Amino acid sequence: MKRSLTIVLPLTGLLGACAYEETALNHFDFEGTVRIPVEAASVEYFDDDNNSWVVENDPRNLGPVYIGVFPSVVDNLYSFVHPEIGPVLGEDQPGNAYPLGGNTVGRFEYGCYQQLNCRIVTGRYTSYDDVLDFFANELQEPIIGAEGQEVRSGTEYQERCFELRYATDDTEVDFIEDGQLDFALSSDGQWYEAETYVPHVEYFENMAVWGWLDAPSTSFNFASCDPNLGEQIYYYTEQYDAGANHTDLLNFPGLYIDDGDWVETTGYNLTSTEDTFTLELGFNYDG
Amino acid sequence: MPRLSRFLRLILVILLVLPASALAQSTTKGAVKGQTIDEGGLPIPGVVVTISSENMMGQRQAESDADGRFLFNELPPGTYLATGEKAGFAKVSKTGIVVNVGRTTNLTMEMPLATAMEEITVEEKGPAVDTESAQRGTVLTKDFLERIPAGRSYQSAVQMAAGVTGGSNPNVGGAAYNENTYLLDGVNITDPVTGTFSLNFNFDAIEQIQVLTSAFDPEYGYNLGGVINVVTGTGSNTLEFVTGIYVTNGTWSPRLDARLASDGYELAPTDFDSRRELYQLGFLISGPIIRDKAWFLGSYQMSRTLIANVGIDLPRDFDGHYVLSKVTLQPSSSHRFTVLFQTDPSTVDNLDQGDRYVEPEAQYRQAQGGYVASLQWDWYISPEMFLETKATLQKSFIEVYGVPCTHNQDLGYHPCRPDELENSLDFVTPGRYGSNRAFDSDNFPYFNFDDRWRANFTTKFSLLQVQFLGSHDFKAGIEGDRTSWDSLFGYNGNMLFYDVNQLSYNPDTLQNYYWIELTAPYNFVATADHAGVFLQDVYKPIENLTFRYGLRYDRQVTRNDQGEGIVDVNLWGPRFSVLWDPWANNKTKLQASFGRFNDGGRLAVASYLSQSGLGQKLTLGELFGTFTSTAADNYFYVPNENTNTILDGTIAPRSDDFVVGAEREVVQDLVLSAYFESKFTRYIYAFDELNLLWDESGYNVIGFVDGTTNALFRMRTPSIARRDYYRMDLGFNKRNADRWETFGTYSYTVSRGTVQTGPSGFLQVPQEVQFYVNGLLGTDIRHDVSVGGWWDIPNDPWTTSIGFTVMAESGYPVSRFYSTAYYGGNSVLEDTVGTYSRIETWWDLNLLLRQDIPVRKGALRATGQVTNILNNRQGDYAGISGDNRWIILGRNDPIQFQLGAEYQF
Repeated sequence: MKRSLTIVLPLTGLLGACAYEETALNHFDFEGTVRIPVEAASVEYFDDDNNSWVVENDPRNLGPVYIGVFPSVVDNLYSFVHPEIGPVLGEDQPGNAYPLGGNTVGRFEYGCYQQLNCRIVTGRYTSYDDVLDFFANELQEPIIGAEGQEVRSGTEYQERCFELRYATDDTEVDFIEDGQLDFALSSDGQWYEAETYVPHVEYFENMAVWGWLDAPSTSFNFASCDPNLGEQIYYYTEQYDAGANHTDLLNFPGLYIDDGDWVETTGYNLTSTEDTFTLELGFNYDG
Repeated sequence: MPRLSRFLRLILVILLVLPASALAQSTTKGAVKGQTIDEGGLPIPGVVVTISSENMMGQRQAESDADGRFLFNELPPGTYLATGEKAGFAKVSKTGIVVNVGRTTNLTMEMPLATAMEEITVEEKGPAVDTESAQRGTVLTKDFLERIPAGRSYQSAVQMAAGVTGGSNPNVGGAAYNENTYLLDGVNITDPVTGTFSLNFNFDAIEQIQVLTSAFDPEYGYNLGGVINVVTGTGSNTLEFVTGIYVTNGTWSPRLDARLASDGYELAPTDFDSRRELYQLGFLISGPIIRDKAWFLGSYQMSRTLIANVGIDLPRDFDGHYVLSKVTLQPSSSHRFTVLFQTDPSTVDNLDQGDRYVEPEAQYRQAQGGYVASLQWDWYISPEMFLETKATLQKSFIEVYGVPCTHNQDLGYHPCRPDELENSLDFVTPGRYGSNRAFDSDNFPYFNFDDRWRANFTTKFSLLQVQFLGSHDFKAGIEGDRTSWDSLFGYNGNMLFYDVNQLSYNPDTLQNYYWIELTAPYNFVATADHAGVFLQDVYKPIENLTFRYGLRYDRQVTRNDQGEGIVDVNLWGPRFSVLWDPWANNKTKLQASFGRFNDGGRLAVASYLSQSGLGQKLTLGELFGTFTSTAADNYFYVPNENTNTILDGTIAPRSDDFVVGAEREVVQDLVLSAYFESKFTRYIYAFDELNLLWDESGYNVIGFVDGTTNALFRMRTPSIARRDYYRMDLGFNKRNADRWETFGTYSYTVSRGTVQTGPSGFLQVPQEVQFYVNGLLGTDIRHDVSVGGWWDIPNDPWTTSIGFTVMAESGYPVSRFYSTAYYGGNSVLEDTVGTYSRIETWWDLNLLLRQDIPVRKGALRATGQVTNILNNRQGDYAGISGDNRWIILGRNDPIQFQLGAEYQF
């Protein structure tokens, strides 16, 4: 028996020490899929070669998708389904939707030129040249540099980012690899689909997942982003605001949904902590 | 009986049945273990072995047992003489036996028959491989520290141990800088709040430094990092006096051309420079009060450091005064008492020297320091039994306030008004913070008086050489700690103005933008009670096989300022090692170790959860146009209560550490070693943000759960807060040569983690960001090399010593910090793993030249050191400024020249 003590002692210590368990949290990550109609990505541009207007489905036209988890959704507040809101406290202010969790698919990224503030969404571009191409050839709004000239070279764009942000690595500008667009075309060709998740949400039965896509206006501006918000960047004596989304998009989504945006049609009720959601942003709000 | 009760009963039975036990050495001493044999290798029983040293009072004797074995435990570190005597055998003396702290020195005394020779004296060259020790690390002796160019800084010296990297509070074994334990003569002097070292030492009083990086015994372990144990001298029967002055200058570095100006706005001239000067003056006196009964040691060191970053005229001025006094009493051969007192009052003026936008009157002073007093009683009950009891009281403090005014304008500090007394402090005038390049002015805004206490009682009992299916060295101990943190914080005049000037940088055009009214200063007291018990055994079933195993239990309760037990943890730390010397010749060691190390957390945890705070009311100034400054238009009001919470059932961070390795003495005294360590740390204290909802990458806030813009933090220990760490060490060490030594290690480290720091670090991130901490062993791959050596050149009557070290460290990744849209600070790292820049690889060469010159009644010593030679870091201490410009702030480890002169007798 004595001989066994030398084995038992460390083993008992190990067993005792292994008794730790992290206290269970009532917070969960919910995974799901967001589907956007293909026409949400349509962009119309003038084809110089054929001297005609062309409509194409280009995912670079997609804005960020905002996803929230709410106590419930209702259909009598706006002309689209909207999260239930709390008390209305002011005449010009709607009630707060009190989101329980949230996430986005794509987010605004500062594009190193003030002209691009609130216009570059991550997950949509593969390179600096890709950005220049989209704005110059599809939107017909070429990027103009600090000296007033059109920026034609991705290298020049890159150098601008280096000077302004000391971006030593292209990945700091958050480009995607070819073919790694966050939205992929569905098998029937009718939807763009993206896998996503909403992290760390306190679970209540039948809570609703809901979201919308902020589509660009005709001048390619996004209602959910303010070019005067966010990080301030100095370049010698010039000062830029990087531009950022508003901070209450999930609290007051009705304030930011405007013409052309695509909204979830019903809301998805989560019935268990293992439930996976699917959002179909099939409602195109036209004011 | 329920199953759990049986389990507990089993543990109780084990604890009761096992004899209270111990290893041969404590945290301040070493041991000598040996065997007496004849020329044929057969053991000789009954040999009277006597051991003595300058560092030990009197001498001690032991008689070898039937196997010829003898033991001397609890020996002060130093060099010893051992003599063996027995009728019929020649008297054998062994000189030069080195005893290091925490180590056991093996000694073999071969005694020929007296007919062959009457007396033999042999210089001992102990085994180069310690085949019974499992702990990884190193011991730096006084001789070694004096011979290598470490800049008279123990922090620099410990960097030479494999697995140690970082700065003055190093990262050890992949742990954070605040997860080490610092000991002074075995007394825990770790700051109970920050987990950093809290006391400055007198370099000349250091006898040895023990650096433990992993696989250490339960006796040491209540932390996730390493143990750095500084052991000071005790004096001797000889009166000794040493005084010296050292001047270190890093300003003499070659000047560098600046590509960018220090202010980040325009190109700079090429002749700027930074300033870095260190002056040390001190003395040490030691000797007998009563020969072999009472010794004393007293030491004083003044240290002044002046550092000015690039473009700054007024240097940061650090003044420290370190006093150590120690008395050792040995009224009988069985009892020894040691009284230790160390204090280090220091002040740092002009701490804002790195910011040129601070007016002199808005500079601040930091007064810091503290003391430790300890009483230790060593009871040598018998050669096999030893009891060590120690009581300690430690206080450290940090006081921050506006720099006192002075009429001496040469100092450049806060000028006194004509009617003001010198050194007047102003707690009435509110400070003015400058934003967007406006100047801080009027007064430093706040004050903080911060006291930290630790009271400790420890007792350890050793029972050695217990023969039961082999040989056991048992050791058991208990310890109790109470730590407390008493902090007073407030703003001068309970008001703070913010000045903003966005248009130019002329301090004359300051404009008041807004001000904040604050509630009265608040005071909080947080406490922690800790009790620990350990039991360990060194078991040798056969001569060349050693098992070291033990168990440590710690209980800690940390309370916030309301007396609420915010962290209440029971921690078990088992340790197990097996060591095998396959050829039983003390030349080879194969090792495998496992240990669990726990961290109950420091009082910093309590501060985040304390309920005290400052209420604030923001009032907008006239530049807000239609707004007025009446109370009705207060922009916001923050109540003086803390909304941070803690998740119930929070556990404590822990590391599971695995070590395998081998050492081999390949030729005489040349040891090659190879080790592999893997360490998995989990459940690090972290902050969970509950209210903010973020976009997909954690850049921007898109919503608030409770509808307000408040950030609500909850502390917990989530599984995401973790570090995985792997390291391979290759090393060599050539020692015991008569006049030289050389050593080197190469470490390859792979680590991956989500958080670097412990209780005082934040995991204050969006849940979207899974891996976000790069560099400094958060998520990192790196190579570290350290090589060094020394050579004593005989040049009678003078002695010249040359020492060198070469250190190299590969670069490591760092995340780019950009202000986030919401926080506007560095709370969130915006780049995920793989999208980072890197700190460049660096290396340096350091040289030391020392000349000892005998003079009448003593010796003169001249020392010159050049550190950071060929150092590629000297000019690139740069960073990204708040406005996203790459700026050169100062010299990072510039070439430094140190000249010193000492006199000793």
